[in-house]
This record gives sequence, structure tokens and C-alpha cells, in this order.
Amino acid sequence: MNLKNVLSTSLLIAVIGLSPNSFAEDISEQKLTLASCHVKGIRQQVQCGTLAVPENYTKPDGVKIDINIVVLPAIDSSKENLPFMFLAGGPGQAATELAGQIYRGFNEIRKTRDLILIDQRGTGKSHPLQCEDSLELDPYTSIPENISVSDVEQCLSLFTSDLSQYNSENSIRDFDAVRAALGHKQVHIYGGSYGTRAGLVYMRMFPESLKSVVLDSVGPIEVPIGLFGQSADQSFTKLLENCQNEQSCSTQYPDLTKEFATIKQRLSKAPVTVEIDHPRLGTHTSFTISTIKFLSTIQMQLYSMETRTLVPLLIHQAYLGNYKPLAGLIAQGEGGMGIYVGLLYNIVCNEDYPKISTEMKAQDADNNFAKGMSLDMIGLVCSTWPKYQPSADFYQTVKADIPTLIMSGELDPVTPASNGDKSHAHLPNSHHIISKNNAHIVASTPCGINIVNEFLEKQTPKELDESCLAEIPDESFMVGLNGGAATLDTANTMPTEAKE
Amino acid sequence: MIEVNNLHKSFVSKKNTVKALDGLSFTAKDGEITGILGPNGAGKTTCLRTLYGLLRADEGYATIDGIKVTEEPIEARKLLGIFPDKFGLYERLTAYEQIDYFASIHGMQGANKHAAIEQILQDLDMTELAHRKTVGFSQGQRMKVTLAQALVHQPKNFVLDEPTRGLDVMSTRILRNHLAKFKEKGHCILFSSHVMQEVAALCDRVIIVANGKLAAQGTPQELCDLAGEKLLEEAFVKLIGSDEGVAA
Amino acid sequence: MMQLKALMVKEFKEAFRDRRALMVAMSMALLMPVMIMVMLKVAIKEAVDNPAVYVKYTGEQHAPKLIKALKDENILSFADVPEDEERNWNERNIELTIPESFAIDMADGKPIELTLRADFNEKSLSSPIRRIKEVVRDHSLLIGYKRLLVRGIDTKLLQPIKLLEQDTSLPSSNAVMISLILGVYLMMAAFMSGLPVAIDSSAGERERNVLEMLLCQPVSTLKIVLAKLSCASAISIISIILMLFLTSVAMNFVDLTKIGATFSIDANTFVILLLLLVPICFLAASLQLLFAFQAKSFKEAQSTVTMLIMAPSFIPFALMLMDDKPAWVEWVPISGQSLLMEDVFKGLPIDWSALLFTSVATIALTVGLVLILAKRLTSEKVVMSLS
Repeated sequence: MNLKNVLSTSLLIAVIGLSPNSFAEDISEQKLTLASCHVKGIRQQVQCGTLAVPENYTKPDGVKIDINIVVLPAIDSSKENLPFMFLAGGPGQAATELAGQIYRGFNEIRKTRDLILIDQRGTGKSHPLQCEDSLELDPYTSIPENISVSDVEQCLSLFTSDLSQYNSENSIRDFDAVRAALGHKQVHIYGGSYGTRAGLVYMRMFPESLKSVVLDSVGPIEVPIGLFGQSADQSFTKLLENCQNEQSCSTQYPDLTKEFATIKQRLSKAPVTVEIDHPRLGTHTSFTISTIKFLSTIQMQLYSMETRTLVPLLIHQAYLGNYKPLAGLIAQGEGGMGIYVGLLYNIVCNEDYPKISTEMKAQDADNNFAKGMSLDMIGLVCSTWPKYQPSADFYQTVKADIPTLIMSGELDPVTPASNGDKSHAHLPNSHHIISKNNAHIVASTPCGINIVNEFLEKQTPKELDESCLAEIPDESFMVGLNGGAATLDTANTMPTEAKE
Repeated sequence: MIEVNNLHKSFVSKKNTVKALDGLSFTAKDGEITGILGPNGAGKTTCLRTLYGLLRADEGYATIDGIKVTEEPIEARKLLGIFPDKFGLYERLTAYEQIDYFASIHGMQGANKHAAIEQILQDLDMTELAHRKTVGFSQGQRMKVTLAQALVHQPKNFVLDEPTRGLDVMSTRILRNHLAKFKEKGHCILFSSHVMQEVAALCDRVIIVANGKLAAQGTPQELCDLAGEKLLEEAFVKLIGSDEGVAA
Repeated sequence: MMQLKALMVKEFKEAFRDRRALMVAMSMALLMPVMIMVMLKVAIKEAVDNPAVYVKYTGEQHAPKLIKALKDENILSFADVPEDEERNWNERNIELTIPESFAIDMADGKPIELTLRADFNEKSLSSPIRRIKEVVRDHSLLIGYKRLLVRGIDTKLLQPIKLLEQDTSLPSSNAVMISLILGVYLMMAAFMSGLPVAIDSSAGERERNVLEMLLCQPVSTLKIVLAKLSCASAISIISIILMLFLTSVAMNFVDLTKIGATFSIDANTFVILLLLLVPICFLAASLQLLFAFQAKSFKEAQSTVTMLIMAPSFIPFALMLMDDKPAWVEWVPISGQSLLMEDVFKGLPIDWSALLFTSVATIALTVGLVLILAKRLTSEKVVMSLS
């Protein structure tokens, strides 16, 4: 970008700043200049920029941190429609690192709207809080059970900034500052997973900045993050049921529930170690499987419809003593999930974990899948994590009267439809859509995206065409090491497909 | 009264210079019909256009009732009724609308205008034509409309440029009768023509123009006498052919 | 004042009774929405990511998951083709044959051979064929990846080198094209709609020998010019209003969002566009009258003035090609309006001061032209060409 462009753009924002609407708002409002740039995963040019914000909003003249922003410009290059701001999940995902996926997934919406991606403070290029060392562990030989307080402390020693400022509310202050600096009076927001929590906080703090809200796979403030025991169990149980309801799967794996119980039994005594070829290096390596390693790997697969197809095979092969599918899946996750772990625990350990009572813990652990696995892990880390006290307002129920579309997947292992119901009950202008054959994040399907798009246009959450949800087929599974389904079952499914 | 005084007019083009008027002077008096007679290219139309204020004389001037055309063209034109050389009609208007248009341009309005239009329609015996669009009118009907639009504001002076060209006998008669009526009312009528009988029958005075100059003037009879011919036509030929003799 | 009124009444009467000229003026207005609609329909059809493709399957029951993957990309069975497209797709005749042994070979891990049969040279089939091939390839790849994964192999091994592409070209879109065309068309309408009326009331009147009569009347040529100008420009303004109205109606029949374009003519846009175009109408009418009076005959007037119409259509294109626009293009007549219209179509807030500047400049130019024309009508040159 040449100097002229910079000057003209800054002039543009100055002009907007003079309009009567924003005049009264914030005199110290900052100017934000975007420059053409490339981000990973997108061939076309997009717009990038940074906005300096105070690390501590009560000390506006204190330390500043740069917030990283990427705008995916609308295809029609019109500014007619309000932009769509994407709030990433995690907590700890960096929105701009998802740019490629969002670019393609939200293509329908991007046709007429700018998409605004902001790295939440503590993620991406916005002063990231990452525990580098956690990536160095060999995922095959090490087991999660061996993670100790010292590992956490080692990670913490890397952080020099005031961790208490890296909370949800400050993140929302950053987002709203970006909105204003980009010259938008209002925006639409999309929150997925933890992004819904951020969205709800946004709705409470700056309701006038939001034209409408999409909450996809909701984590309401009333339900602390980490209580995944019941929902994961439910998701897993449904998977087993669906397998039994499908002819090829039930033929291939008639005793899956029993086999799963047997493996758990086996692993609970002692971790199993087998010799395998290293999935990536091809060299000989030992592969140790513990209960947590086994269950957490399965739990990870429950999030998406695509990976769920592998679960029956994974269990069956493990039952037969073949842990290679498990190794393959672990290889898949190697290199991290793109989560900024430092931020993840900083938020969860302060905003959620303290709210979990012993009864809640006990109730959550009362299940047949992973018991209290998730909470135990979190609890270990949180025991040494530095504390801060979230503001009193933080735990208020959000009741903003903003058009809100709530979506849940019935197969979701972490944010069950019951979460969506809770938010729906408090938000007067909301509608809750539950997709039957969907796991985490409903907008991951073309159908979900179309509903979101229609909502953005019409702004009437209760009058949307949801018919495409019914067309999403029941889940099916990989039934052999080579894939493929038995011919028998096709005769049953085909006629229904032809009708559509 | 129309006065033309020492008019000079040349048209300059790249190839040559044409002298259209070369010191032409004459007077057309009120209560008289004055005819301008001249061969093609003698300068009749140029003379009349100077009179309308369309052309600007190189030298000399024209006045209408004492108003100099070059100085106050709009005022001078108000006193004029014009029947142009090649008259066309607004074919998408009715005869009435067309007459109304010119009446309005001359500043008439309201009941006055309406009465004047009705009057002229009656005078010219064209009430039946009044509300038809003028497209497809016969030459005679066209003449009537043109006459009506020229006379609707009852101009003191009336200039006609070859008015009878292309007219049938009946139309010519109507025109002639009308001009005679006008004359009786004391108007000044000036018209150009190259039809001898026309001029002989109508005009009180004849002005013969040749090569942009006045060749001779007088009553038809005087001109015949001057040339020593019985017929005006013969006189005309003789007069324009031997301008030296006339000047003498 | 009364004279002017009479002059104007007559011009309007004549113009509105001239069916041919009116037809020409209004045909622009009527054709525009139709043209835009047809263009958009074509553009949408081409731009929509996945238009339906119908394939004649043999043995589709053997590979339901592949058929579903195809269906997800809107590649459907010929059995489901809608009636109106049946003939088309029957002729195109894309056949995909799935062997009976598909499921068994899949389970055994043996290569499966599918046959895709079609006229690969046929242009209209190149995109459907490409899409079918992509789906089959992706589906095959996905199975391959999963096979390796469950054998404990890191699937990333299959992609040793990944090329990240960074395209530095400026994003262009259909919407830009549409608004450009619409802008050119509106500009042309402003220039063209009044054209027949302007020529008819100038060169036409002269040819019909009525102009001389008028010039001999006690009325100033300025009033004559003003009357003719207001008539010709009124016709183009009416035409533009009609066009905008019909276009906004027509826009309801096309789903622009499919090609990533938002465009609607709401009341606000309507008024702004009109504000922009009205001065242009005046300017156009004055230019037309000037040139038409200058021409030696009606025919010549028609041809010279038609050349004039080229001007507005070139300016927006020329502006597109200009990278560094000098400041003056923002207020120079026509180019100023072009730029502002572009903003309107992009949905940017209107720059009122620029609008004011360019409008004033346009009107000033018009006034200048009118004065020149009025002066010219008193000149002998015009009179001499009367006969």
C-alpha cells in the first residue's frame, strides 16, 4: 500500500468520525488502517491491520497491546450490508488462523458482507499466550496421566504480562474497539463454541453495537466450561445407537458397547504398550495407550460427523488389540489443535472452574463414557494457575433484546442442545434450531450456513427455512479397514435418497 | 409604414462574394399594397429578411413604423405580420393550436386571444379546419393557416414573400380579398412576387428590384408608361434589362 | 414569461404527439431493465458455483456414498431431471457406470474402475465433467486417506509439498461489472432519450420550414432555446425515472446474492441517482441542440449527434483504466457523475460536496451552451442555411 492510500483511508475514517452518530461516542477513538495482505489458506488478497489497545482498560495510558485484524472483503465490494464479525472458539483459537476455513465455509455470506476476524487477546498475533513446551511431548510414548504441576509452572514462567487482563470482558472491549475503529456503527456477530460465550458477553456489554447475533453450539455463562462428562457420554451413546440402527455397522460391530467396556477395563488396570511403526517417521517406536489417551482421542472424534465415522472401527480394532487406527488419529492431531493453551487455561481456570461445585462435579462424572476426565485434567492445571476475579457482572444472565439465532447439534459432545435451551429461555428475540444429524458447530454444513445467511438477511430468527436440516442423512460409519459398505444396506437407503 | 433606406448586403464565402443588395431604398405606405417585383436572385428575399431582422445590413437600415429593425428587432417584429417565403406548419398541432401559438408569442392572452383567433378563423372561412391537425392539409389550407397565424394579432404592417406560389385559383382569390380588406383598414402591405398579373391586379405601387438595386417604382400604370409598354410584363422585362435608361 | 410558457407548451405538445420520437426515448427505458435482467440471468447462471448436473448412472445402487457425495455437489441422477431440462440433458448424455463389484472390491481394497462417458469436446460439458471428476477424485482420496489412517500412518505423509498460492490481482466481481454497465446505461439514457426530440425540434423544424417563421417573431432566441431545451431534457428525465423504476422492479426478479452482488434501487438511491442525472439531461439536451442546429440537414444532425452519445459511454470506461485519477475528474461533468454513481452502486455514503460541485459545473456548462446557442440562432449563418 502506498502512502496515498494510507492518507486517503485515514481521511475516510476521519470523515466518518465527524458524522453526528459517532460524534458523542468516543473522542479518543482510534483510526485503523487496513492494508492488502495475504493470509494462509486464501489465495486472494484480503485486508489486514492492527489496533493498539490498552492491556488494562482501567489504565488507558498504560501498556498497549496490538490486536491483529483480518477483514475478508465482500465479493461484491459493496458496503451496503453490515459486516459479519467472527468470534472464534476455544477459548484460545485465533480467528485469523481460521481465515482459510472461514473464507470457504462462509462463502455464501461473504458474497455481500465483509467478514471481520479478530485474534482475541492472548491468541494468534494478539499478544499470544502459548505453552510451547506442551507441543514437544512425544504423543506416542508419553501419556496425559503423567502431566504434572511442574509442566504447568514451566509454561507459566514464560508469561510476563498481567494475566488478569486476558479475560473475556477485555477481549470484548477489544472487539468493540475494532468495530468502532473500522467505522461500523453496528455489526452482526457469529460465535461458535466458546465464541458464543464471547458473543453473550458482547451482548451484555455493548448491546447497541450488535445488529444481530448467531450463537452456534452454545456455552452459556450458566454452564461452566469443562462440564463435558454428561454431554460427551450422551454424544457417544448416540453414536453407538446410530451404529446399531445402521445395518452395515450393526452387522460388522454387533457388540460395540461391550467391546468398549472391555477396553476401558483393560486400560484401567495398566496402560498398554505396543510396538508400532512411527506414523510419520516409519521408524520403530513404542506406543503407550492409557485410559485418558484412549478416551480423549475418542472424545475428540465425537466433535465432527466426518471423524465420528471412524469411532466404531477404532473401538473394534482396539478390542482386537490393534491400536494402529488410534495411532493414526493421534498423528492427525499432532502439531496442536491451533489452541493457545495459555489463554485457554487463563480463562477457564478463572471464569469457569471456580464456579463448579463438588456436587456438580460428582453429577457430571456419573456417566459411562469418560467419567470426570475433562474436569480432572482442568483441575490439575487450575490448581497452579494464577487467579483473578472476574467482574460481578460477568455472571449475569444475558437478556439482550437483539435478534438472535441459536443453533445446536444433537450429537454435540461438549455444548449439548440443553445449553442452547438455557440461552433461548433468557433471550426474548431468539430462536433455537436443533439439528438432528449434527455434532459440534451447525454452521459447518452448507445447510447451517444457508440458515445463517437467511437470518442475516431477514433478521427474523423465528421465520427461517430450516427444511434442509431434515435432509442431512443419518450418520454412517466406516465398517472395514478398506471402507465400503455391504451391498445389503444400499437397497434400503437408495429409494429415500432418490425422492429428495 | 415600412421604409428601406440604402440597404447594402454582401454574402462572403471562400469562393466568391455575392452582392445581394446594393443600395436598395423604398417605402411602403400605410393603406397601400406595395409589390416587390424582381427576377430570381434579385435580392427580394434578402431584402425582406433584413426587414424581419434576420439579416443585418452592411449599410443602410430598415424601419417599421419608424422603429429601426437592427436596433430593436423585437419591438419592430411586434408590428409585423409575416407570411414567409417557404412556409411550413407544425404538423402535429391543429390549425387552432398553431394560430394560438403565434398569438401567444405576440403577447395576446385570455378572452382577447380567443376572440381574435375566432375572428381570423371566420374571416378566412376556416372554422371547420380549426381543430384538425395540419398534417395532410392541401396547399390552400396551409396558406390559410399561415395567413391566419400571421394576421391573428392584427399587425399594422404585413409582409408576404411570394404568397401565391402553388396556390389554386380559389385560394389566391381568398388571399387577394383578404389583402384588399386589410388595405381598406389602413394597414401597410408589402409583398414580393414574380407573377405579373398578381401584381398588376393587386398592387397600388410596384417596386422593381434587379441586382440588389431599385430598378424602378410607381403604380403598374406608371411603370408601363415609363417603359412604353402596354403590359406590365413587357415593361418589367424592359426595365430590368435596361436599368441605365431607367436611372436616367 | 407568457411567451416562454407558450413556447414550452407548444414544444411539449409536439413532442408528446411525436410517437416515433417518444417510442425511441421510452424504448431505452423499457429495454434497459430487460437487458439488465437477461444479462444478470446469464451471469448468475454462469457464476453460481454449482448448477445442477444430471448424469445417467448405471449401477448407482452399488456405491451409495459416492452418489451422495456427487449429490452434495449438485450432481444428480438423470432420473430426477426436471421436465423442461430433460431434452437438454438427454442430449448431453453424461454416463457414469459403476461396476457391480464396487462394494466387494472396496472391502477387498482392490482398484475399482468407474467409466465416465460423454462428449469431452463439447464446451457446455467441460464444467460438469470437471466437477464429476473432482468429486470422484476427492471421494477416492478421502477413502485412501482413511485407509492409511486406520493402518496407523500419518496422512500428512501423502502431501510432502504444499504450494501456498498468493494472488496479487485485485479482486473483481460481477457486481462491479453490473454497476458499471448500469452506470453507462443510465448515462446513455440521459444522453439518448431526448435525442429524437432535440433533433426534431431543431434540425427537423428547420427542414420543415417552420423555424424561419419562429425566428421572425418578436421573441428572443434565448426563450426559444430554453423551451426546446426544457422539452428535450424533460423527455430524458421522464425516461430515466421510468427506467429506474422499471429496473428496480426488474431487480426483484433476479437473485443477485447468488453472484455476490447486492443491488437495489430504494427510494434513497432513486433520488440520488436522479439528482445526479438531471443536470446531465440538461447538458445533453443543450449539446444536442447545439450540434443539431449546426448540422446542414436532419440526416446530418442525426449522424453527428449520434456521435455525441459515444462520449458518455467512454468516460466511465476511461475512468476505470485510470489508476491515478486527477482531482478534476471528480467534478468535471459526466466523469464526476460516473464516479459518484459508482459509489452509489457500491453502497458507499454519498459525497454531497462532490455531488454539488459536479452538478454546479454541469449546470454552468449547460448555461454556457444555451447562451452560445441563443447567440448563434441570431447569426446570419443559421439564417442563411434556412433556405
